[in-house]
Amino acid sequence: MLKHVVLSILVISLITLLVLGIAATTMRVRTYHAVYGSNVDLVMVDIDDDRATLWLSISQTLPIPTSYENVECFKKIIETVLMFDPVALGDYATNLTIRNVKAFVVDARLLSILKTFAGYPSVVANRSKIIDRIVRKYTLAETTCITSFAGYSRRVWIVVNVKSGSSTVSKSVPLRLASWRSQCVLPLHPSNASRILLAIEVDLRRSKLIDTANNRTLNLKNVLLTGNATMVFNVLSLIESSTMSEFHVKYLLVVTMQQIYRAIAIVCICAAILCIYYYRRPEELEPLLRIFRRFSARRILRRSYG
Amino acid sequence: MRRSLDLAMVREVLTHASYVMDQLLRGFVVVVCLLAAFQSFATIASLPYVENLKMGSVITFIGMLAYVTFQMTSLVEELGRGEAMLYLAHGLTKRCYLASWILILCVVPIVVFVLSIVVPIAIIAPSLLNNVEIPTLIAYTVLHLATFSSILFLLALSKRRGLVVALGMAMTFLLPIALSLATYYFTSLAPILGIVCPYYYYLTYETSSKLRICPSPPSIGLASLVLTMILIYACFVKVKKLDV
Repeated sequence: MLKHVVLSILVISLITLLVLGIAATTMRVRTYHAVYGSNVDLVMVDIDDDRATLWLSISQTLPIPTSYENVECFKKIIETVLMFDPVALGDYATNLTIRNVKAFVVDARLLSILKTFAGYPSVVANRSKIIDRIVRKYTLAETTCITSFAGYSRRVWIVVNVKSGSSTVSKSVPLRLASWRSQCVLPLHPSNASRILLAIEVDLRRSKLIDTANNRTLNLKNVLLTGNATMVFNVLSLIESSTMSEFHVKYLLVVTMQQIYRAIAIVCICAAILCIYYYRRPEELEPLLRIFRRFSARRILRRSYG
Repeated sequence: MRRSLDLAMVREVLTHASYVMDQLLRGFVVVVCLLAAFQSFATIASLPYVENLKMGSVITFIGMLAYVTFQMTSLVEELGRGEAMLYLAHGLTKRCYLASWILILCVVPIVVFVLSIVVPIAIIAPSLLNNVEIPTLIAYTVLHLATFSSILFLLALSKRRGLVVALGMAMTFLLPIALSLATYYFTSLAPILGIVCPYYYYLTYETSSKLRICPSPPSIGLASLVLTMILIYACFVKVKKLDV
């Protein structure tokens, strides 16, 4: 009976590997390297109770549980964010080969993870100050980039800072358009989605960022959203449900190379066990071969007689 | 002496079970392939939330119940055609014969189903295995499959193929509907149905607030475990008197 169990594990891992492969190649899902190697415009790091989520641009999410090997990567991300040099991250991380990353968005709770790392006591103490500095950094970067908008539109950033105002996060969420140093506070409500959108649009028009020839209003790739990722996601969902068709907020399937390696490892182990088993008892292989023989016999019959 | 006798019996059971499994290998492989495909896709699609995985596993679970029902007809046909007599004439006792079928139609489906949940998770997101939801999910599916198989075993020993298929299908497809109807209209009936289908009861209990006044899923699970043991004992009693 053991051979049937091993056979089951082998088949299940093979099929899982197949599904992972299909998902990675056909369903707009990218592997680790592909995701990080592409032109990622926005990385948002959000920490929940038991997992961290990297938000890659608006439409791609990469859930990374903090409990296993990614802690080191997170350490490097945090390091890089704190050094205010996100573009250099690609050189830091070995597991996450991030290239062409324009900016990072850091959730306040992410900094609490620093408690687990030695050597960052001051960071935890100055949490709000660091966030302010990060926001200011990107605001400055964006201001610089606006001047060269005509030359290269991908580098334009609009910083929309969504923060949960109180412990009851559902109703009052201040929204700040930090890029123009002006603040407009809007409660998070479906009716306000259009106002948020309008606010962004107005600012875009004021700065002549709209490509009137192509009638493009807003390209999300150029929007940097900071704050609680869930809040941002909610805002985007609200906006998406309004008139803007350019917004595509979706959860995508994510396949990583580690998953594929794991599947291959299990397949190899099971195959090795079965090989040893059938080598010692070749007569036990007969029922398994019978299945293939039956299939091939049918195929021959079908070919011969139609 | 007794120990060696027991070992010999276990060997007999395993040998016969292995032989029958080889006969049913094609269906087994097909089912494992389908289970793995559904389950691995559900695991990828549901990440990072376990709740979606729970819903995804319902489809594979229904498929597994249907598989067990149809394989149960092999036992009925074997008893009906007199093939069982052939094996019993070669020194295999009735108890060993039944035990080998229990191994094939109760233990193996449980093991395969658990593997179909655990292996994709172990590959795709191993950290999810630490989540308390996954062992709970597995425990209820195991209990449900065991109860389901033991009920069908008792019917199969009566050699009535139609009854086995009809009841198996009803328990697979109609029982969830009956349970959800009972939840809304006859709430006191829901725990009684839940004893026969602890997994469906667990899912309904999680989603419906109407069942809060009813016994919790662990107590229902315990009741269905006792029911399974009684049914299996009844099967062994019945097979002794069986005229093959």
